[in-house]
This record gives sequence, C-alpha cells and structure tokens, in this order.
Amino acid sequence: MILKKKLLYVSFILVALSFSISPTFANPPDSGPVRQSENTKLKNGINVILDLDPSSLLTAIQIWISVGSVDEDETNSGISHFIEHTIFKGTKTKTQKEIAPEIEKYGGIINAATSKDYTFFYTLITSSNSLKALEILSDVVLNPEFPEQEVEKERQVVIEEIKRKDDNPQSQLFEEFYSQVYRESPYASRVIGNEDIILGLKRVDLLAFHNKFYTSNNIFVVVTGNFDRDKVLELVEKYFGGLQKGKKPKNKLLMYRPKYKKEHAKKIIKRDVAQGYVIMGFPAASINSDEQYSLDLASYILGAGRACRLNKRLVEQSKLALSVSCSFSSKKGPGLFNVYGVCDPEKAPELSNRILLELLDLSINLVSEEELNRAKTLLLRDKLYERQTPDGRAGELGFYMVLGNGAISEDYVSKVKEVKAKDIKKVISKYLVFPNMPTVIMTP
Amino acid sequence: MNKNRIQYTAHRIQRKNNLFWFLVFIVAINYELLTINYLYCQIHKEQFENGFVFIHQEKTGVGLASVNLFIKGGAVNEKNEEAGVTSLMTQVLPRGTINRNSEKIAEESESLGATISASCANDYIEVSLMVLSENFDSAFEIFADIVNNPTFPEEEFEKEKVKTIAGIKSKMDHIFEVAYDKFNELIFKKYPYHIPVSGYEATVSSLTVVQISDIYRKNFRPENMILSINGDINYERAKKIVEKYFKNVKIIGAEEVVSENISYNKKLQTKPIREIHPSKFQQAYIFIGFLAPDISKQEYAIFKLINTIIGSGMGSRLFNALREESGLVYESSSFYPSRKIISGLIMYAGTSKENIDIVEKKLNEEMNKISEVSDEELKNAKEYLKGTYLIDHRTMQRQSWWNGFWEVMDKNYNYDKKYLEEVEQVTVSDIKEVFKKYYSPEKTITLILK
Repeated sequence: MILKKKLLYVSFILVALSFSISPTFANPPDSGPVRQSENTKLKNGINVILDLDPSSLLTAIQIWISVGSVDEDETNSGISHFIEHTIFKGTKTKTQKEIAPEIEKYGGIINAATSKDYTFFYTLITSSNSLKALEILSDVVLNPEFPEQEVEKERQVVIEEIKRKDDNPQSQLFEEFYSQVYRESPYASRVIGNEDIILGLKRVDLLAFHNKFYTSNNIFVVVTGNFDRDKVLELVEKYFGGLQKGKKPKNKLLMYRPKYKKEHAKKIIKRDVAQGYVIMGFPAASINSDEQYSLDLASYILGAGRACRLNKRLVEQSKLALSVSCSFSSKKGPGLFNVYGVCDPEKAPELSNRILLELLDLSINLVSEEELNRAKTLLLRDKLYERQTPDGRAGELGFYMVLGNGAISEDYVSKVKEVKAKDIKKVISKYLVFPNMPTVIMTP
Repeated sequence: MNKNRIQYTAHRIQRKNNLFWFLVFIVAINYELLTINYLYCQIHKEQFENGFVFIHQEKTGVGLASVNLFIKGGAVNEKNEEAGVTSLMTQVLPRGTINRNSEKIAEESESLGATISASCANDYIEVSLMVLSENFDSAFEIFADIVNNPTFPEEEFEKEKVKTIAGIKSKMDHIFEVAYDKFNELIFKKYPYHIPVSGYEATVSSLTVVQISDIYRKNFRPENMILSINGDINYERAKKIVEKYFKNVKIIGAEEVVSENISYNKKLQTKPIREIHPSKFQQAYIFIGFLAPDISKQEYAIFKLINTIIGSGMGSRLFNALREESGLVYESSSFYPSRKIISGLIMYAGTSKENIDIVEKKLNEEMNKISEVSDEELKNAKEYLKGTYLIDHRTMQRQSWWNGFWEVMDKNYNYDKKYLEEVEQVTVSDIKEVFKKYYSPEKTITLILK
C-alpha cells in the first residue's frame, strides 16, 4: 500500500515534470543548438568523437572503419563490401534476427555502406534507445561470426546487386571513368567487385580480412545528437577498449598519379541507352591538402544551382546539354574532380569539348567576386543543411576522420570563407589535365 | 533460515525490480510525450479571407528556413491528351515573371543562398523555397513573384519541353522506372493515376505554352493554396511577409476548375491480371499488388501498418523471405502511397531471370498470408513505423512538408500527430478485417518485366 502510494507520487511528479519542462525542451535556445563536441582516444588508439546536442530527439551512432576497395587486390576485389553485407548475419552472441530487426523494434534504422577508402556502419534511433543500439552495432562490427550457410545466401544477394548495378548505365559510366582516371592506382577498382571473385570468397577469407583491418587504429566511433555522454563513453570503452592494435600496411599506391597519354584519354561506350552521357575530370588534391576548400568552391562555381557557369553556358545558352553537374570527391589519395553531363547523343562529342574549354578557362582567368560569393553562400548553406541532423553531423565528422584529416569539420566554414578568386585559378591550373583529360562518353 | 532469508531477499529484489520497471515505463511515456510535444510545439494556422491557408512552425538555431506551398490539383485533373501538362507548367513556372527573367531569378535567389523549385505530384502541385534565414525576406519576395506573376516565356517553355521529353526517354534506361510505369498502367487502369506525372513523349510534344498557362490559371487560386513555413523565422515576421504577398492575391483571369463528373468503373475485378513484358535489362522485376483505400478512409493507418509489416525495413517479411532466407534478391520492398482517389498495396522485387518463378511464388505466398499477424509482430511494426516517422521529421524541411501535405490531402495539419494515435490503436483483428475487405487472390495484379 505504502509502495503504491509512493509509486503514484513518483509517477505524478514525473508526469508533472514532463509537462513543465516540455516547453523548454520544445524550444531550443535562441543561440542555436548548444553543442558539446569532444574527441578522445582510447588507450588502444580508437578515436571516439562525441557531438552532444541536447535539443535533438535522436542519436546517431556511426562506426567508421578505414578499409575499402583500395585495400583489396585482384584476388579479393569486393571483399570489403561483401563483409559489410555478411557482418549483419550474426555475431558470437546474436543471430541475424537479433541485429537489424532488433534495432527496428526500437524504432531505429541500421545499415552500412562501403566506399573506396572506408566502410561505415550506422544506426539512427530515438535517444532513449541509444545505449541498446550502441551495444548491438558495436557487437556487429567487432564480433561477426560469418556463419557459413548465411555467407552462401548473402553471396547470391551480392551477385544480384552486381547485376542490378550493371543494369544502370550511369553506374557503368562512373566505374569506367574511375578506371580511366586512376588506371594503375587502387582507386580504379570497383567497390562491389565482380561475380567471379565473389563466388570464390570463403568464410576464412572474410575472417582473415576482418582480423587484419578491423583493428583499433582503423576504427572511429562517432556519436551525435542527444545521449548520455558518460554512459556512452563508458560503453565505448567496454566494447572497444580490449581491441588489439593492428598493423595496417601502408598502401604506397594510394598517392599514385598516372600520366595521361592521348590514346588513353577518351573512352566511348556504346550501349542501348536513350541519351548521351559524358563524364570527364582529373585527380586533384588529397585529404591532407588545404586545397580541399578551393576545389569544393570550384565545383560549385561550375556546377551548383541554375546560375552556375556550366548550366548557364552549356544548358541555357548553347543548349548542348540537358543537364550538367560538377563535384569534387575527397579521398585519402588524390581526390576526384569531375563534370557530368546528359545530352542528346549526337551532341556528346561537342559537349565534351566545351566542358574541357570551361575547365581550361577556370585555370586561366579569375572568377568574378559575384560568382565566388554565390558559390560560398550556397556551399555554406548546404553545410548548414547537412549539420541540421545528428546523422548528417556524424557523417561529416566520421568522413573526415576516417580519411585522416578530422580538423576539416571544425575549420570548414572559416576556411571556405577565406578562399579567394586567385586560389580557384591556382588549384585548377595545378591539377587540370589538358588536353588529354580522362573522358568517358556513353551513347546508343 | 538461510532459505527464508534468500526468499525474502529475492522478494525485495522483485519489488525493487517492479519499481524500477514501473519508473522506466513512466520515463518512457514521458519521453514520448516530450517527443510529440517537441514536434508539434508552436504551430500556427491561419486562413485569409481569400481562402489562402498559412501554417507556421518555428525552429530556432538552424539558420535556415523552409517554405512549401501546396496547391490542390496535380496530375490527377489532366485530360489524357494533355498528360504531363501540369508537370511541364511547374518546370516553366520559375523561368520568368513580370519582374524578372529566368537568369535574374537564378542569380538573385542563389546569391541569397536560396533554392526555389516547383514540381507536380498526382494530387497536388508544390512550389518550395529553402534559404538561409537571414535572407528570408528577400528570397520570399522572389518566391512570391514566381507564384503570383509568372509569364511562361515561350523560349523557356521550349527549353523545358525538350528537357522533359529527354527525361521521359531517360526513364527507359532504368529498370525500376520502366516496370513501375507499366505496373501503374495496369493497377490504376480505371483511374487517372495510371498516367505518369511527367506524361508521355507524344502528349508532351504536342503541348503549347497556352495550355500550361491555362493550367496555371485553373490551379493557382488562393483557395487552393496551403503555405507551410518552418525554420528560424518567428511567427510575427513570417505572418507579416505572407500577408504582404498572399492575403489579397487574386490570380488575374483565374477560372474555377470544373471537375468533370468522372465516374470510375468500379466493377469488381473477378480474376487476377498478369502481364509479362520483355525488356533490355539483365535483371527481371516483378510487381504484385491490389487496390487499397485512399487517404480519407479510416483504414488508412491500418494499411500503413500492413505495409510496414510486409515490406519496410530489414525486419520485414519480404526482406526476410526473399533475401535473408533464400538470397534470391538484393531489393524487395512494398509501398502504399497516400492518394486521394484510390491507392494500392504494392510489393516488388528485382531478381535474376532464372529466379522469376520462385520469386513470384514467394511474393504471392506473402500476399496471401498478410493477415496472419501476431500481437508481437504488430507491436514491432508500430514501433518501427513511429520511429521512422520521427526520423523522417528530423529536418525543418520535412516538418514543413508534412504540415502542408496533410492539409492539401484534406486532412488537418494536426493529423501529423493524430496519425500516430491511429497507428497506435490498430489491432490484429483490424488487420484481418480490412485485409478481407480489400484483398482476394482474384483482385491481384502482376507485372513481370524480363
């Protein structure tokens, strides 16, 4: 009876408290979300990045592993991606059903992705379930069992994924382009691998690759949004603290820059497609260079929005392209600066020539202050947009950390603001490959 | 003695556990209250005398503002021979006003960090603005100019027409889009939804600038408009600027849309429909579905849960049956779109051509046993649906979108909250009942692209 009274009293206080605090909670401070960011390192070298935003209802947990297709060779091409799939098939203590379906029972999402330089695993969930999600995701990443039977089934799934990718013309275009740009570099190989290699990968291969690369010096744990900071740190220490340091061999080929000869510059693919597709570009600065900011801005000057150079000149004025875009993709090694256009198939060669001239122009002449300011405004707006969500913020922090230059996240806004017109000209002229710029054209 | 002591200790632990779990339960309930309060705080709704509806929700600290203008109508009102006219109109809309040409609109808005775009859906038209909140007033002026004073310049119209036709052709290079368009032709054969929103190459080719101008005048009437703002803009500031541009607006020459009294052939389908189409792709795609209730029906939330159980997430039945257990597919999912006239519960899978038969068989098996739901499965589906719904509301753009969306679909903006309550109330017997009402094997439609 006394207990009941006590319980009623406690529940009354809690309910009353919730109503009384909800307006404060509902309206975050005017100065913007109060964030507390910290970057700590466990004794074994694992980087833990916490970015606490008490106004958020969600927690994003991301585990970034510094391993991707650049760490593979011709005998195991696609294994990083294959592991990303099979890792969800069970751990030493959990079955497949106790992983993703369990997170979903708590109203969260869980998934993973593999790239050239990294593999990352993520969950996004209501803050009240964040500790449970951290436990599941950590177990998945650190203790996969790769059950033989499950690996066999997942092999078929990955082969279906390869077929699906091959059915997509843009996917083929981009893969051919990577191979054209990076040639002998490990960045040339495809992340998903090919059917023959996937068919030959065994459980023992997956375990060996996992043991080699999922080591403390390769792992970055990022937690953002709203969470119990002390508890999260305690659990990260508990789950990751015992992990042995590994020795990741230095990949000397990462920084390799091919020489481009005329006979290799252009590749034309004939395929049953309705439009013409053009992609061209060159390797540029690596993640450790401060030229990242100028390259990002150059890509916005050329290809972001309707008032960008390429849209105005190639779509609106000359009507050579139906659409055109530009991007700079940061990498541990040379990042990729590229322009992509869709056009009437007959206009593809002319479009490719005009893109080349536009890039040349950017390397010779200064952009106007107006163009530069427009690009800065749009780029910084997009950065604000990305940082609006816990997963966007975690993605930014993890991405730059895993590539090896975590300071970029902190400095990004101020460094972008500092870029001048001459920096754009300088960086493009430094990296532009002219006239033998790697180009891939796909037409019917 | 020891035994008694042990029992006593155990009893106390049990009581402590009870207390602990009770407190956890209370905290969980309170967390949910906080969550819901957070999402729905400070929403204002006003309707001006001209019928224009304005909804505002403030979100401080983000440095951005989002505006979504919904206009009732959409592709659903198009005549067959004008398929794609509304979509084309939305593409030309931001390409010229009485005050600005296309280039000036792009230059001015982007220098403010603003993106203004327009699009067409089956049941509505949408014009949206995303901008740095510090530049909100200037960007909103351009946005209002586009909505109220478009000129549809002939040259811009021709450019957008070429791009639209190219886009229609490009769809032929993507297996999902080819299969989905063909499936829509089948399942919504008797309804306007069978036409792709972007139209057909033949119909778009024949469109004129007069037709798109006419569609604009028919649809862009203040009483058809719902404007939703969310972001770092306080209510007073937002209200002042919205009133300035929309309170007294009357589109010159606006004419009322006379809805043709369309009577749909609701004759019941008495045998399954199954079509096979050849394709140029390596993979095959299979779509299977049946007609399902529109958004106004009380079964709407129940069907959303059914869809979650079948095809949402890695814990769903399709993912389990076709991928986890058999490795037959990379992609298999389901969807139940929110529509005004009629909807469909649709499952699909992409697979190798040699697996078509087995995948089709498994899809049909899953379809047949939809109503065999356990309490636990239903509970899990509710949690997943609510969680992903919250996740989908995590940006101010999406919150703005949802507020306007419910209004344009003839629900109130506060249905965003009520929807979750309806989901919470669904029982296993509700699922059995509605499934029986809408489904039988004879009512299924199957499309195979191989």
